[in-house]
Amino acid sequence: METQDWFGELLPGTFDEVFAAPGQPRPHYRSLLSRMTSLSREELRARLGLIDLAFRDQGVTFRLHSEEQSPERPFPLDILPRLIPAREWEEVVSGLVQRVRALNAFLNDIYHDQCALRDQVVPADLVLAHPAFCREVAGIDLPFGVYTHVAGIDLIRDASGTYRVLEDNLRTPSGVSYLLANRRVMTQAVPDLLRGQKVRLVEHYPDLLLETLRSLSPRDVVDPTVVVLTPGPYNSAYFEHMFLAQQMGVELVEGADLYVDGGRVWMRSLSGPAQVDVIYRRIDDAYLDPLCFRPDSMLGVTGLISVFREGRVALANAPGSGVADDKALYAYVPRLIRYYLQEEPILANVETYLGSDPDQLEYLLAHARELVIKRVDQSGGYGMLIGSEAEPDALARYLAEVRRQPSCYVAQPRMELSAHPTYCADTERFEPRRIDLRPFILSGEQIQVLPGGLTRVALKRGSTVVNSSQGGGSKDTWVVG
Amino acid sequence: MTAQGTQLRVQHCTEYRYPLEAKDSFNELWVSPVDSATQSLQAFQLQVDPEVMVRSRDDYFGNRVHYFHVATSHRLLRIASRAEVLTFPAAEPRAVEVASLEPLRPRFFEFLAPTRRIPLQGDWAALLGFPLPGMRDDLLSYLLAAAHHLHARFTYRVGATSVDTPLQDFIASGQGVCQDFAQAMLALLRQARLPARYVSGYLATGVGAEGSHAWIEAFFPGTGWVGIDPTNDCPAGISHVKVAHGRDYDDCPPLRGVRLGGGMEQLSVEVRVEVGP
Repeated sequence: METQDWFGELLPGTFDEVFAAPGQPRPHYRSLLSRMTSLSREELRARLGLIDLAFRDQGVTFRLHSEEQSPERPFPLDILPRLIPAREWEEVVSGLVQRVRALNAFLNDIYHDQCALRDQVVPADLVLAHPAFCREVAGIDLPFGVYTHVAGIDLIRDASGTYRVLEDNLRTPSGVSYLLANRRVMTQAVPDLLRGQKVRLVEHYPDLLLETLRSLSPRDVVDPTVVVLTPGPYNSAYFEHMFLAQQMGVELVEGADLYVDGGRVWMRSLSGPAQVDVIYRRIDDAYLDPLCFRPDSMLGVTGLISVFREGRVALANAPGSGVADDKALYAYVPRLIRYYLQEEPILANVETYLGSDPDQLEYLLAHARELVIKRVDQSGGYGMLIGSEAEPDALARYLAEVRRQPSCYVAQPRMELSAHPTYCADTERFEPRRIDLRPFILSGEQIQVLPGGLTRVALKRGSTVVNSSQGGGSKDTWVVG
Repeated sequence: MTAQGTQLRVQHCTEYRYPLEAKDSFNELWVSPVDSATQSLQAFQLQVDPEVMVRSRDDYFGNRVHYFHVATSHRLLRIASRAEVLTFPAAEPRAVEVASLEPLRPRFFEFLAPTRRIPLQGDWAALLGFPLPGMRDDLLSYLLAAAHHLHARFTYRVGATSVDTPLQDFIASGQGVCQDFAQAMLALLRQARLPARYVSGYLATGVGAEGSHAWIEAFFPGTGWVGIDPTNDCPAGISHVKVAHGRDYDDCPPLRGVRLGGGMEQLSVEVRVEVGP
């Protein structure tokens, strides 16, 4: 049968998103697959060509840190979308909302009374010795007690199909522009696939974001001034900064476009200075304000933190949010959910061994081959070691570093990320590739989760690294039904 | 010294002269004496030239910070503060053993942890030539002996070090100023796992009186924070005027600022502390 011919073999010991068994698609994929497989090879090739064209048209690119030459490259989008049944998604949403509520409660606590530290729910050093712990913003009462207004929580599905949180991103998570571009490309290039699927909309994200940002405005005005603060075109996510500013209809600014005067933040403009109420900042804490943080920063706005402290400008996300997305603190999030919300965690963590704990360190060193080891202070797949794939001397060198600074490392069992058939140009077949999911959660007065999220795909055969900074691709993600 | 307390008047004047126009100068100051059981703040005034609005807040450690912004072009920035305080002798701390701090350590994480200026790599006790305490040692006796040792081991010399001289260099050269003495003592106490914090302030008489002063405070169960001055080999007393405390100098420098332009500044600082009405 045609279906068999198009799809590669399933990966052993892995949850396949599409097939319950070879040749047996899961119910929510049936109508999409029958439409796909009714296409002739030529029709499929034509659609692939259209996606490629629509993608170039959007100008969606991602800049890699290591690429010096022609740094802009397209972010490959697969033709076969990832589908999540609505009922399954609702469960994920309640887990995400719960997690973000607890993380915001934790941030509000450590910048005020520090009850979680007194009650020893979390070791004090994890917070107080953390480079992202920001004493400059302690004691400030933020609107709704929210610190992380835009969160990206990375989810994976284990071999049994259970969703698990892999990582929290609470500082300046990126990727939402790819999600939006993916949907736009799919709508333009393959509208026939979307038809009749009852796919939940994502196009209104810029409106939701703007509404969330406006709700933070310290001034009670009809049309508060919101800006997007970018480090500039050399940042890997500059495209996204530009895109979101454009979509929200607000100014994209760099540090030099803003200044502080009379205890307020102002934006230089041709029509004279305009008072700024809310800054959606996409630059790191360390560069925000040279008076408080790095005095050599050319990207920030001098005096900004004092205005923030006095409540005359809102910063999203709030400085100091990074303490709560630390890879070691991650292990304590289930405890934080119980402590602040008196609820059981809905979404499971991945089991985590902490280098800071002598017993867990011993286990980590003894079982390095079965583990994925990460530096707590790095992200995006940098500073990470996959024990089973490392060359012996690379492993030895890495473990020597772990022994030297054990508290800088955590380890997790190697997760068999779920797989999804993905079109491979070389074989002209859909072969299983590992995927994850980054949903975006907006917190203001309420918490809102954009349906679906960015599904990232490890494009290399057998790879489990899905980060866009490591050369991954993506899929449009449809919450259906 | 009388039952009415000792009256001290502090004048602290900092002047920056710029060869070129400076503007957009943002500054934070830790200069206002604290108001506490042993130190009553009677009056405090702060004057900035060019004239600007000065605001204040409390920082993470509970210190009062004054801050201001000079937006306009200027060639001179002058910050003058005057304070009047009444100081009272502190009661002798309740005698405790070093061991009594054991259960309290989690509460004082920040005053035990390494900082950029006082890293806990290396054996400070050996470098300073002073032993770590035994569990049964009397806390006050140990602290006074440590202060006495540092006083004898190092020479106080103005200009021997700068604000950014690493602790190791001070120890190697054997001479420095009050800030170096205080940070050396903090290194020793933190290695000994005794919660201790850096104190900035003023001193009426004795060594260090020509400028701002610095000493340390150690925690005594049943009493609270107790000041010890290693530069002068004594407990902090009625001649010490405390302004702020932190983990090290960086948490409470007298002045921190960022500006545009101005060129190579000329700085002059004058501090006067007078006793009596």
